[in-house]
Amino acid sequence: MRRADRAFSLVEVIVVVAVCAVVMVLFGSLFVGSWVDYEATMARVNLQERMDNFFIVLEEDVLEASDFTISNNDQRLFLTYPASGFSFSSVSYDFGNGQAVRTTAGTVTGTQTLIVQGLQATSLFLEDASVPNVVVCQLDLEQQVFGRTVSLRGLKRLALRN
Amino acid sequence: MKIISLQIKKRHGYALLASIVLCLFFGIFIGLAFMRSSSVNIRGTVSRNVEDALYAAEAGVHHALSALRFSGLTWTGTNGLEDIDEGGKVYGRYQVAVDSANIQQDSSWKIVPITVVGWNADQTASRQINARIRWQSLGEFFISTFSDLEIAKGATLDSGILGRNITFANATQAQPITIQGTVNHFGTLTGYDPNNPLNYPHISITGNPKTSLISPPAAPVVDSNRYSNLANDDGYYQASGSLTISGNLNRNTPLGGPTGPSAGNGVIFVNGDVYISATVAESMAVVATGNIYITGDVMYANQNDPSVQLGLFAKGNIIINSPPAGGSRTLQAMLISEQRFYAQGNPGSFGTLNFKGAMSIRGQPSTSTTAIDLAAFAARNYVYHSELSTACTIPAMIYLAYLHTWQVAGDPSIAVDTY
Repeated sequence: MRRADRAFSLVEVIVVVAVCAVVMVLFGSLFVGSWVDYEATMARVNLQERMDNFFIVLEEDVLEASDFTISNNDQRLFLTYPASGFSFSSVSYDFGNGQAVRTTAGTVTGTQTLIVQGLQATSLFLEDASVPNVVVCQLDLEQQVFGRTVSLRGLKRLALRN
Repeated sequence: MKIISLQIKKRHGYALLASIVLCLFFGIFIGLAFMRSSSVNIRGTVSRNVEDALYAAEAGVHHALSALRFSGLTWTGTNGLEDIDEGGKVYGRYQVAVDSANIQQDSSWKIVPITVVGWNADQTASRQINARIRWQSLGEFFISTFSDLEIAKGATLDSGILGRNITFANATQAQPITIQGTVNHFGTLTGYDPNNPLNYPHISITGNPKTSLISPPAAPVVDSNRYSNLANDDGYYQASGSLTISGNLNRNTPLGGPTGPSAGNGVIFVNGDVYISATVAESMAVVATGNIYITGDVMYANQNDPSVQLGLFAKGNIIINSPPAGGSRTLQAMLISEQRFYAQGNPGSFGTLNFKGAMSIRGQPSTSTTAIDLAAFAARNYVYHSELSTACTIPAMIYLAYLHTWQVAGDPSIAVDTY
């Protein structure tokens, strides 16, 4: 009998678990709301991260360029570089099929998909009409989360340095 | 009784097990959520650090440009770690190294290689920018302007020139154009073709190359803060109103006359206009936030000593006041103006202007007003003071420095995750 008395009764355990559950639910709600909201927030953060990384690469490529052309209905940016001392002779960015693809030519040659999915057709490159040698890039990213659409738009104006 | 007791014991055991499993389930569930959030947060922080490091390096490039504009090529070597901070908070750091041993010559310009390493605030990420800066003394050009230049027939210039759009008049045998240096332009060139110079027999350009199309330089700035600090430290500083300088000008008598306050470093700064008519015995820089009026002759005490040099730097205009009708005027100085340089009066109403030195006049690029207009003098004799370029002694001289090439070390795509 003494050994049995040392254990919890079923009612005690149910009460403890119920309290734990309520605390956990409250704790979780405090930070992430519902699970769907949490997933949507995570998706938004992921989109922002994709966008940041894309713009970091684009920024350096554009700043180093000496000239650029935009074609393919504003879906293609072609950058050229000074004749000597640079790793690339050209770098092109192509938007299409939900992806952003960067292709380099010159000393370092290769193709890299910077954004694998979620790139929207409204993403584009433009030449700033008021300031010469300035590239404007609009990036629209989108992701579906449990039937909910999470979208993010980024705009960057970059001037050639060379 | 014994049987009942065993049953209760077993029931308690299952309940405990169930509660542990439930707790574990909730624990793992929430733990995974935290891990995902934490992982995303770390990746975001890394991206931000990489970008911050690049911006810090870029700030270092601007520091180098500024230093080369102010200090010229005396600014060398690896400089100390600089913080980018505001209100006590550090946002990043950078370090600039000037590769003085590998400065290249491009025509009369110098190409200065620099390396700048930038770090984010806690120095967990770094980026390096390798840049080459195009550098030149403003004293290299007899005339430099950031608006358009028209070279009149009969003009003889014994140094290179710099302008935006440069137009040569239709020179004749009787009135040829001679330029003993390179014509630097960052706009169009009209009235002369360096590839077919024989088509322009009466235009002689002796520079090598004859013309040079350069990328648009940043216009020189008369930095009020810089000069007011220098004048406050060990020069002559006047906080407001106009200043008249006349008589013998040296560092012991910076206002002219037999006595006066000293200007140990040779910098006179006036937060207003300056009126000057002086004989200059020592190298000085006279800086005005307003206009500088040349009210009489300004000339060197010893005409055979090219090491004495006067700088007249104005954020406003440099204006030659009307001399007596038919009278002449002598002006010997390095002139730098953020606006115009002109003589008051109707064209040809005065005698001869004798100018020795060099002039860098920004002009008003958005208007058609001529940056330099000395037509009030019937005759104008120009002599280039070559030591302004080769052996400048003007305190706190201003130089041209702007980016020639800019390159980030490495491929940026390696530095960040891609998706």
